[in-house]
Amino acid sequence: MTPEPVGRSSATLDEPVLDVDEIQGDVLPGFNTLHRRLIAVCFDQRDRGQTMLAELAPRVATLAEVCHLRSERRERLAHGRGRPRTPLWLNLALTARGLQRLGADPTSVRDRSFAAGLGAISPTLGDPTDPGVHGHPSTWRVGGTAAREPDALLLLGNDDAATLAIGAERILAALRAAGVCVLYDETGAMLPGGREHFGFRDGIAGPAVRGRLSARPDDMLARRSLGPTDPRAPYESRPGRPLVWPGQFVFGLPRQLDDPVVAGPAFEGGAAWVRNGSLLVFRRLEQDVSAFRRFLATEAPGLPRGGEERLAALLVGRWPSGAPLVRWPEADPGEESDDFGYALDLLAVRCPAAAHIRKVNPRDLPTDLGGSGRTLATHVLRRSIPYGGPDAAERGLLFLCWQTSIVRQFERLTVGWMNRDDAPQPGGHDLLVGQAPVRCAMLDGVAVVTSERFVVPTGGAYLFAPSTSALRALAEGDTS
Amino acid sequence: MQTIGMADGADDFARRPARLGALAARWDERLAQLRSRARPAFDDNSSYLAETRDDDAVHMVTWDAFPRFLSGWFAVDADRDERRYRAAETLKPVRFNGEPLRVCTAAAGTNHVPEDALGEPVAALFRQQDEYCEWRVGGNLERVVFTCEPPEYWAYLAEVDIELAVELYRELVDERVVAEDLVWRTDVASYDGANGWRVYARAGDYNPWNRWNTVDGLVHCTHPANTLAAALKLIGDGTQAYQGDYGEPIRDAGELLCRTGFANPNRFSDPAIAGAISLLIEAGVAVGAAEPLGVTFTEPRLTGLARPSGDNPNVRWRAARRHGDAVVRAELTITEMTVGGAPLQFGGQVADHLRMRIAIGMRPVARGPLTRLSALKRCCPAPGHPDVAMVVDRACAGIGPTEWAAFAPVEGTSAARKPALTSPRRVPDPVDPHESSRMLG
Repeated sequence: MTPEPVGRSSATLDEPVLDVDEIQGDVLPGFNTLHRRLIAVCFDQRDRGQTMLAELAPRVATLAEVCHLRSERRERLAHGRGRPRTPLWLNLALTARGLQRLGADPTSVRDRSFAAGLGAISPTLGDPTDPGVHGHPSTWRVGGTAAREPDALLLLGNDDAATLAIGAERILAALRAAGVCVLYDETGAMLPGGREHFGFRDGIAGPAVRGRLSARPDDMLARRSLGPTDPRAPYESRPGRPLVWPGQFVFGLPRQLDDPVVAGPAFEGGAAWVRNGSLLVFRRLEQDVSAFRRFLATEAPGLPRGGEERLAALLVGRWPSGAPLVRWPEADPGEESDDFGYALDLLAVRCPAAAHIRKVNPRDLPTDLGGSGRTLATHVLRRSIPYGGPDAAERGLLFLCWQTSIVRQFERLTVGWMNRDDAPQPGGHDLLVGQAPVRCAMLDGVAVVTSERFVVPTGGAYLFAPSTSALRALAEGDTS
Repeated sequence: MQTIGMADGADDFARRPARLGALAARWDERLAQLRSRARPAFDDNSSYLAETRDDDAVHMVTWDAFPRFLSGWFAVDADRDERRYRAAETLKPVRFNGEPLRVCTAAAGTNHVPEDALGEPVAALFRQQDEYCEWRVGGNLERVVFTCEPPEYWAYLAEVDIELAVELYRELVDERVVAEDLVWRTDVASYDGANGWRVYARAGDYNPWNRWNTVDGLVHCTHPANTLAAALKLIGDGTQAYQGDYGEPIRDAGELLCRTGFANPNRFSDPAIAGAISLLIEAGVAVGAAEPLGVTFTEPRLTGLARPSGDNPNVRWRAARRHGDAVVRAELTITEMTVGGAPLQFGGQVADHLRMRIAIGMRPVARGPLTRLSALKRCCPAPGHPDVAMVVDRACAGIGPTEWAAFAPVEGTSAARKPALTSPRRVPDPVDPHESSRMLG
């Protein structure tokens, strides 16, 4: 009889087979397209909403479809050929109000922030609380107030701008025919080099999701590059990329426990239509690049070493190339890396505790949640894309992320970590993205303070993306 | 040594000006004893500092204030939030090795209590809040009082000056408090497992579970894990280094606590503290508790509290007692509030937004490679509640239903408080939150 393992259990990993035709494709594996378009709509009445769903549900891109083309894309890129032409990808998510208007109970999703809506949660997120002040929900382009709250958000993606535009026009025509009004319509596009508007390489880090695409034991959603004898293999898909159970992102699937390799039970409860769905956080974040550059110019001379580029790296935790500061604290080596941790830098000598990437992903450090294993349950799947051109007056980030708990995931990262000066480790606020009237951080031994917001919320919503069969059921009025 | 006292600067000892020096010195001696006792059993690495100096660097460890054990226990339930909030406000009977305290008639000079000297069980209840933060709600949810003061301090006050303790209790809880309420009326015995029954306290000793600190009020921590000794011992034990099955350092705090059991992996506090200390030791420093000694509140971040209209209220978070500059007791006055968009119905909703902290002093030390011990305990997930686990040094199958029953929290049955969200009105006092858990004789 095999003796019980000491420490934690190391049960044989049996990753679940995912419902590849049910899960929307931007949840898993993610569109990852060069262009995206977000269209927020209002259908007001149940029959219009049902008509819209009946029209759009068959067009929703699934995990299966997106994965198939992902494989093709990898193949082509590996052989020096460009990205393949893809059909327009469409995903769809509903707000609590949208679900209610369709006759479904939004509390069935069992996330109190989703049920309340982003507008009600805005003060908690640290957004401006004076009506009329830039960033207050009353000033948002979409969401935040009853008048601007959408019922649904359409997510469109394609690598070709023209294909995206043509496809979007067809969808808009269908919406008009269904009597659905468009509240907001905006296109985002990847910037050269995969950077965001502050000049930093973005989207490097993120969890790899456990799960299989079929019953074949080796048909993994997330490709594994570590050999079977590598001690990190049970925990990472590749060096620095942690494996997280899919229940953290898709309802009805095994979720994360303290032991990284043990599958926890799915969160129970709720209606059947919640299964295989996911919660979406959308935040339209305006980036004040001018203010950021002025801040760098003003504050850099007060630091003991380095100039503006170093100060920016201290705020982000990476050099503009994507190289992590904790590995290269003196200068940008010019190459990005995701293979690093902070355990040897607990005292934040190499990388500030308040650096953005360290704030939102403390990796192997203990946090106010306890051991580093608990950080795995805070991860979200980011699908953000910049909007506005490199020199546009109005530019920023269409921030999108998926999870099964807005409270314990997105809001832990923002309210619980970025916006506090004492979490996940003491050392200051996230000066770059944190939302608080006054933010302070220790950078190279100097306390740097600012009340200026470089990132201002200008729209958003909390939404739920049902499975494809749930979309069809909602279209038919079946809300059981 | 920074002293504890009222937020207006009037520390407790200063109320006895003629004895101020003696009171403070004797408390310093108690603290020194606790710090000395916290040294790990195998201090081969000389990594523990029983005393820290003003010039030692300080690393703050912070953690969530709402009990992770309760969040984890109810994680599988559809109505997990309400159940964890209720449980947090429900008192649980004190047990030692599964047995309640009992009245006893013990002979002087001996701690052993024969069975025929045992009397009736003694009612003693504690709050199921084990992150070194405890709270109690004023009847209509108009006031929530938070404390992180350890029982040892109040036991000391009662020992050296019972009238001082009574004076403070009257100011903090109720003017009806009398000295007899704060002490054991008889000798009491606790069950020590294979060693049988032993004297736990003598008649006249301070009773940390007296009514004014449990069912009828809140002065200091009541949970058996929320003691100053436990916090200091955790720092001490955390300086011992351990290795895994192949000699590799164990760095993850969860794995560390599952293997060693020297602290509780089901809390936020223990893994946060143990995790930080293990990394500090690896970095070549010795550590010990720094001032302010023990656990204190961080500055509260209550942006999550809002009026139903969405605007931020003028939240009144009053620091009622301080330990030096740090807050150890705070009172939050609230009316018509929401928390994160939901109506405020339980004190735990506020606790969700609080953080606790402890100061770790550090000093570089010259040492060779760390001596590491092996650790062979295991975490056994609770049946039906896999987010929490019991640490044992035997097979998980050997844990019986009685043990699991004692491990489980007591659930609350009190009605949620529902303050009016449109106009102020009095709501009925809630059902006595400890009704269902009062220990039966």
